[in-house]
Parts: sequence; structure tokens; C-alpha cells
Amino acid sequence: MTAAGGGKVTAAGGGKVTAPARAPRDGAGTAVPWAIRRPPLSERRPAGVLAPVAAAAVLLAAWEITAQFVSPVLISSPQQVAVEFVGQFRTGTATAALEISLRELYIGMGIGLAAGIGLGLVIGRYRVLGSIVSPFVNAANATPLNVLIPLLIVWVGISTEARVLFVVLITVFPVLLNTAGGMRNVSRGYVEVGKMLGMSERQLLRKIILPGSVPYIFAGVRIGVALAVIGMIVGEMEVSNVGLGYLLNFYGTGFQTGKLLALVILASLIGVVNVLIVRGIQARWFAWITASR
Amino acid sequence: MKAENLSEADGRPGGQPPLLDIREICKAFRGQDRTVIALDRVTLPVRRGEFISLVGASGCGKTTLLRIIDGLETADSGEVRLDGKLLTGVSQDMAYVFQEINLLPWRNVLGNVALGLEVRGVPKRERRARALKALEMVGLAPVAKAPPYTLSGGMQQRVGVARALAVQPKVFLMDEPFGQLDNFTREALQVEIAGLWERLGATIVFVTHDVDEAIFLSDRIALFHASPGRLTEIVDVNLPRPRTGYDVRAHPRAIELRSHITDHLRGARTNGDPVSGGSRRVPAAARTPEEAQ
Amino acid sequence: MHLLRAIRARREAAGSGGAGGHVQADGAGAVVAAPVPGTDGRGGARGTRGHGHVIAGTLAVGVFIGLWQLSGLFLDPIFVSTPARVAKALATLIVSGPLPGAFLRSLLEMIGGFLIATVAGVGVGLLMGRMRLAEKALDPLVAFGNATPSIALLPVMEVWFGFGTAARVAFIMVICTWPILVNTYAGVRAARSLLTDVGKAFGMSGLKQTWSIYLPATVPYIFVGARIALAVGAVGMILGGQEIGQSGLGGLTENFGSYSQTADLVATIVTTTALAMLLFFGLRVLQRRAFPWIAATSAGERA
Repeated sequence: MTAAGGGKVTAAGGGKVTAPARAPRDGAGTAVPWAIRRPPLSERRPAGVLAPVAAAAVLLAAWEITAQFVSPVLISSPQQVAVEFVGQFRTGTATAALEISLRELYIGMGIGLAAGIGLGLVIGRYRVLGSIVSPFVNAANATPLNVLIPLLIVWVGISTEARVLFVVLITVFPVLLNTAGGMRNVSRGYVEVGKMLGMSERQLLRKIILPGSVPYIFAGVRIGVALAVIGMIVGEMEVSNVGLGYLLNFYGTGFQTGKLLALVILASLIGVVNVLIVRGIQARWFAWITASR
Repeated sequence: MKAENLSEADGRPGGQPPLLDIREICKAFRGQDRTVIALDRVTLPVRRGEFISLVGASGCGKTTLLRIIDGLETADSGEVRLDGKLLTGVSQDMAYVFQEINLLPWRNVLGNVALGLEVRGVPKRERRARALKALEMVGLAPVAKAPPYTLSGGMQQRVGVARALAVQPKVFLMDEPFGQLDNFTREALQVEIAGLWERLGATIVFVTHDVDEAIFLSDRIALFHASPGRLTEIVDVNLPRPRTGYDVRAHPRAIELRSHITDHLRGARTNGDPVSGGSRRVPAAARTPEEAQ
Repeated sequence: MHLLRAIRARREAAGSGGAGGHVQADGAGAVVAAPVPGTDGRGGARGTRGHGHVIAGTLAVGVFIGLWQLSGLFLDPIFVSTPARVAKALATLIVSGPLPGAFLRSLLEMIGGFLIATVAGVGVGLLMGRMRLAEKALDPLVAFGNATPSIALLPVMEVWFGFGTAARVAFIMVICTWPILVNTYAGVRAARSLLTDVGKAFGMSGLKQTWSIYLPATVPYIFVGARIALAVGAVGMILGGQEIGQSGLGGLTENFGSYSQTADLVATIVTTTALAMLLFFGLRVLQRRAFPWIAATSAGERA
């Protein structure tokens, strides 16, 4: 046992040490003298909000200036983009496109996530299945799946089914892999707690492995969500004459850069919203995830 | 009384059979280029109601022994008997407290403590009551609903102890439970454990590398050497209880013990290595076992 | 801060080898670590599973090919063709057809875009990690840029660079930069919390610290970002081939698809899979050879 107790903490160095009027106190309520020394300029953090706002302003300004000097075909000024953004909604173009795009996105994403998690759990539970399925899943996971799109067109033609199917395909594999892999990577400590308390295999699975996999499943879900958006856009660029991706292509080939950039921003917003939703779900029901490990 | 390895009855006159009979445990770990003998014919009878510490430098097999006792690992040879009954696999009559604590982050404190009772099929209301009672014993009933990650390390480990208390085991196995905590918390918890032990009349096998901790807590201390892992000596502490009423460290017997043990353990470092086989006792300026009494 | 989450998400999924194709977006949409626990670099299963695993897998593939061939008996070959036809088509395309050229073109465009992206991503990532000012200023912009599905920028690339190679390479470059940047930045931040004092204690200059301490410490993270970049970049490689002119493997699929030449199409798909696997394999080899110590760091401990 150590000799430390409730004794006074002595200052180590001389000279610069002074105890200010309201000294901080340690857990035992003893005044802790501290050295007063202003950190050098290089270590001081620039004011929190100022820098990014300033940077954003600089970027906008640079954008605006570039747009002046460069052909409007290449870059539209921020102002023009903003106008087009609003315009797209007012004319209903963006609204109609979103209706289709979002519907296909979330149906495809939903199926993909559900299938990925479900299959992942089954595969994680039965190792033999994992070995059997592994070459196919890994090959599919490595391949850029949009190479399949012409084949999808042969199967179901240019249609909603093709696009939804594509979103499902692009989403399912990483989710599956993360889920199955996650089950295998549940912290050994937790598993030992279960064993120590005398759990049967089934109890271990239900009470330890499954909840312990949740962080990994979430990681997979985040990936899947991002990929689903990509899948939606790519699908619509190739297999569609409606929707956001189609419009992007349309404006691009038509050199309507203002509208194009406006829709790119719209696409970003969709991505951001998705991420916020996932983050919100985690914060609300799975707050413990960030705390584990 | 001469300190020596004990077998058969526990060496006390008219002694009862030991509650936990550990005999001739051998365990080796085979690596790529060498074999480490973690435990070499370790024999250790543990008496009912005693507090016995396993002390030795890191890597001398004491944790491995504890895990073998609980059934988390299997020995290469030897046997462990609890109340005369041979143990195979994990025993539900013993509870293990981990150094890494390992509270399940997806359950609140109460859920963690009640986990062992769930496994044993205790009905819900009784589970809750017993878990709360266990929490009261460690003084944490107020945080029953809290998620583990909101607790400090010391509090978390107390929950770990409560988890063990809840299942009312015959033997508590504690693997350096305070190893990850700071000094102040550690001292407080040592006092708490000592109090619990006394109140419950529990049997505790306690692994530590902190000699003072062992002296404070234990009835007997089993000393281990490494490479090969051997139980070399068991000393009776023979300090008056309760040990909270006086400064144990200043007691002459404690000073004597600490000196003897540290010498003994220092000798462990100059032990023969596995290649040359065998060990030799260091002809130390240390006291002889007789003098240590 | 958004990118702080990147480190947490990164830590929680700790840097295993990471299968190809795993793009991870964390709380801020920052595309971060794509390690898939339990799998290895190229998505191959970890060695712990051993022979039984390989046998089962091989058998499964064999059965699959068998069933596929049988399907040709009652299914119009236009849908999935048969292994026999695909094999024949593959041979023909290689020997006298456009496949090798397309393969090479796609490969080179991919590597080109990827390399430029690596330089840019690592550079800016290091800058953000080492200069507080750059970090504060760029962080929200990077978060936004990272949340943008780069795929949507395809038409923009066409507008800027025309309808040829430059556009395709630029497209791949833009796609690949973000994951590499974000992960490099996350790596520097992680190193910061651990290694800040080391350089100072040795009295190193800032630049020397960056080069000798932070860069090596960040390498595992860079590789994780590289794997993500490869996965999504490959999508861009094919998409570019399909949309910006008809070039490379993407262009071939477009061509064969429109003429319903399914056997040729499937042959091209198989070739694309092979190309992708080749790229991931190359990355893994590079990592093992040049940085064999990565497995020993916390970022690579599951690799």
C-alpha cells in the first residue's frame, strides 16, 4: 500500500510557482498550487467559430470570383446556384425527381440493410455457412457492382425494379460482412463473463454475442447507407429517365451548370440527412456503443 | 510453523478437508519456437472461509491457475475439487472477478449484477431483489439504473464484485481486481473487500502482484515463481484482525513478511531458465523460512 | 467535432485488414475506417479458419458452377448464359478481342486517379492534423465534401474536362481523395493524442516531427482509407467507362449489354472482378512488404 494519504501536495519546482487567490482543489479538497504560464502563441487555439466561418466565407468569395472570370458553363457563381436550387423546387422538377429517387433509395436501402443484417447473423452463427458463402460474398464485395447494371437491364429492363435491385445489391454485402464478422469479434472479456456465469451456448448467443455485435452492425449500417445513396445515383444515371441521377446527367450533357451544381448540393443534403438519422438512432437507443471498448 | 507446500489435509491439527482442493496442476503453452511451462505441478488446498492470495511477478502463472480453477481454461493435467467433487468445465459454485472488470455496456448496473441469476433461472422479482441486495453490499444501490460507462473505474469494479456476490458462490476468485485502479480507489476497495469477506465468511482466492495488498487482506499467501510456474511457498500471515483498526504496514510481523516475500520473489528472477531445467534457490542474505516466523 | 467521431468510429471498428469495398460513413458522414472485423485485406477470410474453410468454399464454387451450367438447359442463355459459353467468350475476347486493351485502360485510369488522390489526400490530411489553423478552417468544409456522394460529380467532370480520359481520371481522383484525406486526418489526430510529447522531448522541429513521427504513425490509417478509396473508386472507374465515352471495361459492358451479348457481358464482369481483386491484392502486398509492422499497432492489430 502506498504512503500517499490526505497530505498536502507540495510544489515541485521553485520560482514560478504561485498559488492564485482561488486555487483549484483536488479531490480531497486540498489546494493545489499551479504554475502560471501563458501557453505560447502556437499552442493557442483560434477562436472556435471564427475560423470555419471565415474559411467558408473565403471559399465562397473565391468561388464567386472564379465564376466571374470563367465561362458560366464551367462554374456558376454561388448566387446563381442558389437561384437555380430554389427554382428547381418551384418548378417542381426537383420535387418530382426526389419523390422517385427517395422512394427507390429507401426501399432498396431498407431491404439491403435488413437482408444484410439478417443473413449476416445467420452466417455468423453457423460457421459452415460462412465458409460456403465466403467466396461469393467476398467476390461481390470487392467488385464495383455497377458493372452488373447492363445485365440488370437485360433482366428487368429500364425500370424501378432494376434500380431498387441495384441499391439492394450494393448495400447488402458490406452490411452482411460487418454483421457476421462482428459476431466473431465480440470482446473476449464479455464472452468470458457469460461463460463464467454458466451460460449455455444459446444463452451466450442471445445475451452476449448478439448485443455485443451491435456496434459492428452499426458500422456496417453506416457503410451500407452511404453506398445506398451512391447506388441510387449511379442507378439513375444509367437505368433511368427519371430521378435525381438522371437529372444530373441531363443537366451535365446540356451544360446547364447552374442547375447541375444545385442538384449536386441536393444530393449532398440527402447524404447528410441520412448520416444524421443514423447518428440519431445510435444516440437515442444505443448510446452505449461509443463507450464500449 | 514452517512455511511449506501443503497437501492432504490442510496441515492444521485436526484439520478438515479443504473446500477447494487443487492438485498437481500442470499447464504449458506451446509457442512457435519454445514452450512455456506456466504451471508445474501446483498443489494448493484452500480452506473454507479463508482469504488466500496468490502472489508473484507477472507471468508466473497465477492468473492461469485462477482461470483453470474456474474452468475458463483447462489444465494439461491435475485436478480441482470443490467440496470433494471433481470439477469439469465452468463451475457455477464459484464466481470470478476480472481485472478488466468487463461489465456489459448494453445493460445497466442492475442488469449486469442480475445476469448470473438470469442464467440460473431465478424468477424476475427475486432476481431484482437479490441483485439490489448485492449492490447494497457494495454501497451502489443508488446507481442501479445507470449505464456502466457513466461510472468511475472503482465503482465499476464494485459492480463487478456485486455481480459475483449476487450468485452467492462458495468461492470467490479475484484476478487482480484493483489492478487498473488508482491508489486511492484501490485502498478503499481493499477495505471494502476485507469487510465483505468478514461479514459473509466467504472463501476468497485473490491474485495480486502487490505484496502489501496481499498482507493486508489475506490469511495465507501463496508465493509463485515463474518459468516454470511453481508454487514455492505458502506463508501464514498471522496478523490480528480486523486489520482496519491499526496501521498494518507498521506492524513488525508485516514488515517481516514483506521483507521475506520480496526477497523470495527477487530470488525468482534469478531462477534457472527452462532450457537448463530446474531452479536453484538463491543463497540470499534473506532470512530462512524459520526466521521468518 | 465531426471528425473526432471519425477516430472513435475508427477505434471501435479497429483496423483489421478491411475487406475491399467497405465504405464507412460515421456520424458526420466522414468516410472513415472500413475495416471489416474478422476478414482480411482482400476480403479473404482469416487464416484461423484453416483447411475446412477452404474446402467448403471451393466445393461451394464448384457446385455453383455446376448448377449454373445446368440452368442453361431450361433458361434462355440471354439471361445468365452458361459457364461454358462465358469461358469461350472470355477466351475469344482476350485473344482477338478488346478485352486486354479495355482492361489495361481501366487499370491505368484507376491507378492514375488513385495515386493523385493519395498525394492530395495524405497531404491535406497531414496539414489538417498538424496545423491547428488549417484544421479549424477546413474541418467543416471537409465534412461537407465528404458527405457529398462524389459519384454525383460525374457530369461536373464532363463539363470541366471534356468527354475523355482526363475526365475519367479526374472523376476517380475526386472519389478517392475524400476517404484517404479523412482517414489520414483521423490517423494524425490519433497519433497526436499518443505521440505529441515524443517529438518535443527530442527537440525535433515541426516538419521533422511530421515526417518521422506522425507520418509513420498514420500509415495504417492511410491504408484503411486507401481500401475504401479503391472500393468506391472502382465504381467510378466503371461508371466513367460507361458514361464518359465508351471506354475500358465499363464501356465494354455497355456495348455488350445493348446488344444483349450476355456471354461477353458476363465475361467482362468476371474480368472486372478480377481487376478489382488484383488491385486490393496489390494494396495488401504493398502494405505487408513496405510496412510489415502495421499488424503490431492498434490500428492494424486485427489485420
